[in-house]
Amino acid sequence: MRLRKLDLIRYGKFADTTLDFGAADRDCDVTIVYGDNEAGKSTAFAAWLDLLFGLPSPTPHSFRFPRKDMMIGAVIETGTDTLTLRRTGVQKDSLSDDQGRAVAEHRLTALLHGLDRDAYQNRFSLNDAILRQGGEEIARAQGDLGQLLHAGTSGLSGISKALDDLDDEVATFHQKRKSTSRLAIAKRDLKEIETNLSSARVDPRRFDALRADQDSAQEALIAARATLLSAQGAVQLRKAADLGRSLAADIAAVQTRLDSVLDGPDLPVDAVALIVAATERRSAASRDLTRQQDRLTQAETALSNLTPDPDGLTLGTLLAELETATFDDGELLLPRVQTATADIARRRNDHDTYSRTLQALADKISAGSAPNTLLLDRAVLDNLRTAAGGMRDAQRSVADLHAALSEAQAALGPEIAAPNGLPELADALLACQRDTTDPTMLARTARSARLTADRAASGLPQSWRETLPAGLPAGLPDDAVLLNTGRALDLAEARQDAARQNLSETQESLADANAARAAAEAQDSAVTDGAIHQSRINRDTAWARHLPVLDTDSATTFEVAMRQDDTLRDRHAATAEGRLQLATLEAQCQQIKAKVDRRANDLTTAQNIVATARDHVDDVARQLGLPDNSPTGALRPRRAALVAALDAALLADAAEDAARQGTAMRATLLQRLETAVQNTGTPLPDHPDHPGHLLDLAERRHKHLTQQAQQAEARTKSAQGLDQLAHRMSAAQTTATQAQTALDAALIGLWCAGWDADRVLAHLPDLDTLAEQHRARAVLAHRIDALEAALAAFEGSASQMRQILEVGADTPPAALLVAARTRAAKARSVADALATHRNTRTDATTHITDATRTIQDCDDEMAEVLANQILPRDATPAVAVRQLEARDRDRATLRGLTSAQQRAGDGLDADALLAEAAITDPLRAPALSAAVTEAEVARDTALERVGQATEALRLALNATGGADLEQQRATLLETLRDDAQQAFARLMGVQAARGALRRFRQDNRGAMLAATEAAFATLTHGEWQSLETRSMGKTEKLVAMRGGEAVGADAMSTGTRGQLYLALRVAGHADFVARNGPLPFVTDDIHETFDDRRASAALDLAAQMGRLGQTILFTHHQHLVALAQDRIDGVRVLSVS
Amino acid sequence: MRFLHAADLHLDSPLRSQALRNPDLAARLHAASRSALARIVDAAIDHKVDALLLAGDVFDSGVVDLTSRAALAAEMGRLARAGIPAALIRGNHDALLDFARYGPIADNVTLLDADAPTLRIGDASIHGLGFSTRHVTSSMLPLYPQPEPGRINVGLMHTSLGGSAGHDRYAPCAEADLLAHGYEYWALGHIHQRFERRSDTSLAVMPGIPQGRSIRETGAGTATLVDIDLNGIRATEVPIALLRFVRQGVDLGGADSQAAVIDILSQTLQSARQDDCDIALRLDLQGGDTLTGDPAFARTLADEAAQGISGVYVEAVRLAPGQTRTPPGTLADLAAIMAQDIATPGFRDEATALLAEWQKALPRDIADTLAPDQLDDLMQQGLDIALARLTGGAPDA
Repeated sequence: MRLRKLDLIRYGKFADTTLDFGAADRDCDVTIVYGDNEAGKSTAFAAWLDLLFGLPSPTPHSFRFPRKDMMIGAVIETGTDTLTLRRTGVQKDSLSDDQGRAVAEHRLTALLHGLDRDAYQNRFSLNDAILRQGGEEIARAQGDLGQLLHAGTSGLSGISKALDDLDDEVATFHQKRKSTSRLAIAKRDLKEIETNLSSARVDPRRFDALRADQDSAQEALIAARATLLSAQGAVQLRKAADLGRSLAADIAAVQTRLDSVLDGPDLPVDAVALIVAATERRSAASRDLTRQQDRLTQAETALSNLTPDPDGLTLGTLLAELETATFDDGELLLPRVQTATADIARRRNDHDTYSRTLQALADKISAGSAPNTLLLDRAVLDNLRTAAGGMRDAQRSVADLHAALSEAQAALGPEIAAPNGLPELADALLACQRDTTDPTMLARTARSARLTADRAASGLPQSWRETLPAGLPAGLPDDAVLLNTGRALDLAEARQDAARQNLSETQESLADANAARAAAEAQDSAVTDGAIHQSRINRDTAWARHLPVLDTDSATTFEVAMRQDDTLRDRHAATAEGRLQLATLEAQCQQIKAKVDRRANDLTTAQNIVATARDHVDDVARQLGLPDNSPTGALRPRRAALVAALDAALLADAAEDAARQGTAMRATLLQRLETAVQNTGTPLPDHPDHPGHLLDLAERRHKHLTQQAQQAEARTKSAQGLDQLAHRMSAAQTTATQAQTALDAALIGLWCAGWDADRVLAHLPDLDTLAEQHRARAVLAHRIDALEAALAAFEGSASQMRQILEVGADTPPAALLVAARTRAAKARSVADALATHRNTRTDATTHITDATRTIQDCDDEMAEVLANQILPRDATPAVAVRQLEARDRDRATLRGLTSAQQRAGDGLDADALLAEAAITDPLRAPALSAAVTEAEVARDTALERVGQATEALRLALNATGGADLEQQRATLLETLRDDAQQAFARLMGVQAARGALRRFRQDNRGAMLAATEAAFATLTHGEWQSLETRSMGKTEKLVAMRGGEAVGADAMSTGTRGQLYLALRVAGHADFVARNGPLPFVTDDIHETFDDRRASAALDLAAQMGRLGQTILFTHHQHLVALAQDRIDGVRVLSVS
Repeated sequence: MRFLHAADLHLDSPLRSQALRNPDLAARLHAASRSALARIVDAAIDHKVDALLLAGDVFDSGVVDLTSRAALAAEMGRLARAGIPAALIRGNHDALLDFARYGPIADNVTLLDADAPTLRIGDASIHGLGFSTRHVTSSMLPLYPQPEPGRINVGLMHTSLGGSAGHDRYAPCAEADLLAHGYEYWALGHIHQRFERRSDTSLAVMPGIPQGRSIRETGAGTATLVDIDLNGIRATEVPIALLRFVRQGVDLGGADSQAAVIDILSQTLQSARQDDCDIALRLDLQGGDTLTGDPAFARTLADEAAQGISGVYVEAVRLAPGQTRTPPGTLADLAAIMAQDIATPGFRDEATALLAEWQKALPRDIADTLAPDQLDDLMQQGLDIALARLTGGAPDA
């Protein structure tokens, strides 16, 4: 990964600020970023980290822009690709590309090869504080030195945390004796579910229990019912016995009452009701008889006091006829009589006034004429108005047109001819004026473009244009492809070199290890375990042979074997350390051998990649017309040259075409103009030496002809207007003649025949008024006639009324009517009273007859009901019938008691009943009832139990049962199954990773120490030649050799410790780059405490790093910039301000 | 004549899937097998069948609960009210069909057995035999009545036929013998995957389980509607299942971001939707590289993809082994060392001991999850998870 460009778009105090680190086209990729204190170097440094890992929360750089608006951009080269990224301050999906599309974090994580923010910052982006802190850690020998050497430097610093996380996840699921693990919780949940399940399920055993309970309850119910039946029988027996005794007493009492009353047959069923009803009806009839007799007497008296008035009734009839009399027009007579009486005199005056007005108008129109002779109806007047008006309008129109015609004839001048060829001349002239083509300029431009194209193609083969594919530049490989292809080859070759170097170094290590092992093996002190074992066998064998014989030879043999064995054991014991060293060396040889194999594989892989990349480069080179094995640097220049040459050639071609077409077009237009001028009849000079002269001549001619054409057109339009006026004059005269004819026709036969239009129009208003007044007078005369007719009609009836009322003819109609109405009303009142009293008399007579008949009927009915009864003396029928009714009731009671006495023992054991009747204990009945109650309670309890048992079984069977819980259990188990697998797999992964990590660190420890040693020597100008590790009990500490003396890190100065820490990180960076590819190494003012000598050494080291990958040094010291430019060839300097 | 044929209801046997962790789905699938039975009865009524045939394993021997029997009685009562009889035989799970102990199911239900092997309905004679023993090792076919001439003969048999993986061997019977027995239709049961066998004159149908219970039962979940008339014998599937289990391989090759992975998974889930039932989808992922190297993280992505998609639920996510590829460099070296280490006897011994300890800690029902034969897979899976985590492919999951 390489940082090409860092865009501080909105970050800290920066806005749209770019740090461009340029292309990686130098041998040494070192950039110094210089800026004064507070210029923002540290901010830019922080921006780089925030881009890689996201903005921390809270961020100290949100003082200018709110966090959500903050944005950092970067262009990052990945070795095979270029990523353009944006990082914002939003919480989610803060990483995007330059188009705003979300980019997964893992794209960066993969490029960082597992480094997290802390690891990157501590190992590969150092500042002075980190250097000091790191140095102190070395001095205090804190932590694991192996980890210090490798964590971060190897890119594995984030692993521990990742593995710790995995460990936590495993422990979250299951850990021995941990009660809050998911597994423990789930097992408790399972237990609870299973407990609930056993109570929810209706298994066969529970079913059987419920059924047994139900059966038991049924049996208990049957027993309770039997007990109840028995108790109820005893009570029944007791009741029968008691009832028998009670009935006998009642019968005796009733018989006694019957013996004391009168005899006779039983009354009919409704005897009492009949007697009561008849008695009431008879009483009511008697009261009615009395009342009707009173009414009859009163009516007779009233009739004798009233006298009828027949004349009054006649007046009423006459009044009724008058009040309903109407005229033909539907109007009532009496209102009109009243109107006539009040208005008729005034209306006769109005009629006279009209007659005088009409005569005055007649005199005005024609003196001495009677109004009736001058009357014209409305249609005639309208006809005269139209004809006279038309005549007057026609006369006025003729006069107006005559004046206009005379004026136009005076204004018309002599005739003018139109010019020839003007439109053609105008078109040709306009075409020439619009054409701005300058053939001379076009030709000059074409020549210039061609020269430019020739220059652009210089250096290219002669036939370059023929060999290019069509559609350029699209047919050429894209510039980015060329860049990437070249870079891929360069990178592959760099990796190949690195792999070769690694292999060589590892082979050397192997040779050294083999040599060390051979040296160890060559030492004669090496006694193997096998030799020891064999010597012991030899000694035991010799002893076994000696024991049976106990002779000298065997004793000697045993002694030799024993001594050899002892000697060998002594040597074995003395060389234990050598054997251990040999075993260690052998193990090291095997490990390094394995490493050699891996490195050889790496080299083969790198060589294959180089070959593939070379093939790609050759393919691209051939497309650009370059030979195979061309350097990658030639690709992009060649492409640029081809594109530039082709662009220039195409421009030249276009310019030449434009020049040719422009010249031809201009000539055609001038020729057309010349012809047009000649066609207007204008002679041309013999040799128009310049097109400008022709244009001037044509313009002058066009102007002159245009004026001539305008004059001719105006004269033509005036002549046309004169003709139109003459035509309109003739038409107006015709109209006037027609109007006169119409007026004459309208006047024929009228008293005013022969009048002209003006006289007619002058008298028309008077004639209109005359006609209107005449109509009004006629209407008034008609009304007067109607009033007079009403008075006459009234008088016909009024005379009879005056006669009856005995009043004179001078009595006004109103007074007459009032008197008549009063007399008629009184007569009607007397007549009505007479009728009423006569009706009353008739009605009362009828009622008296009916009441008398009703009284007789009631007496007959009562006699029939009480027939054959012996009645008490002086008793009314109502009283008597009630006594007889009581007698009949006693007779019925006696019959019922006798019957009940007979039924009381039915269905019972006669003996038992007899025995029960013999018992006279008063507590016997309550005791038996209590037994029944007790049996009923027992029966109800049993019944309830049966119901409960049945319901329990029903509810159990109708419940969901254990289905839901079973499902819960199954789901929990399935979840647990998956979680268990994943947790155990994680456990395996963690175990394997931790073991592998230990081996990895052990394997690489030596190489890291050597690299650190070299970097430290460079930084100290060789003052410190080597580094070693020393055991400190369970830990180790780092010591450096200076002048043959070992100095612990704790004894070094702070500056030296910082240098040592820097050396560690530089070595780590080199190792990381070798393993994972380039990664920017960034420092922020770490040289601040270095003197110039140390700073020079640090810059030399930076130069070495720059050859492996990108190195960025932030500083605010101007002298360091100068020093860097002096010591680092090709260093790039950027300024921050 | 028209029949509806189903078998292997396994009433109240629970569904075994993590998909039911989703509370909505769990609520909808409440008593799923009972709902499936209700759907079967609905179908019988809707299609106006002459009889419902249930060819064994109405119940599940793992769930001995009389409420299951009550549920069956309720549904058969509904069937009776529609005037439809039902014929049943015992399967190897049907202890609850013991009429002598628990009483009859309903008036319209006839349990066919050796004492009364034939039920006549209209023109059809329905023959069936069931046994009360859990294991029947010999063929029951010779015990079946001979076909009745002039009538439609239908046989109900619970049998493993020639044998089927994952199913007990029960009343084995050769298919050819079955088809040659002279019955027009054989309503079979026992094997949970549907299939048909046909000869010129006979059709035998194994209808499969109507409601699959786990990812091992991925059938369509149907009952079989059978029409037998002059035009021959026709069998049609009638959808029953409320939830179908489906395995779906997903190739994530080319997905270069988590968003792209989610997009592919979302499309997969969308395309799996069905109108008539919910889907529990087992996703077998391949090619996801470091994006999905950790199954837990892959599950998180799948759950994210399932957001807003109704009717489809993630049953589980499985990754092809060896998915995680590390870029050349330190991690690749580390990965190689890890691969070497787990193959060493020392590591295996330690892992085996741990596995035994963990297996002991698990509930007995799922102890097989960490059986010794699982060790290789678990170690490989662990390697993939660790590498995925170390390469940063999976953030904290």
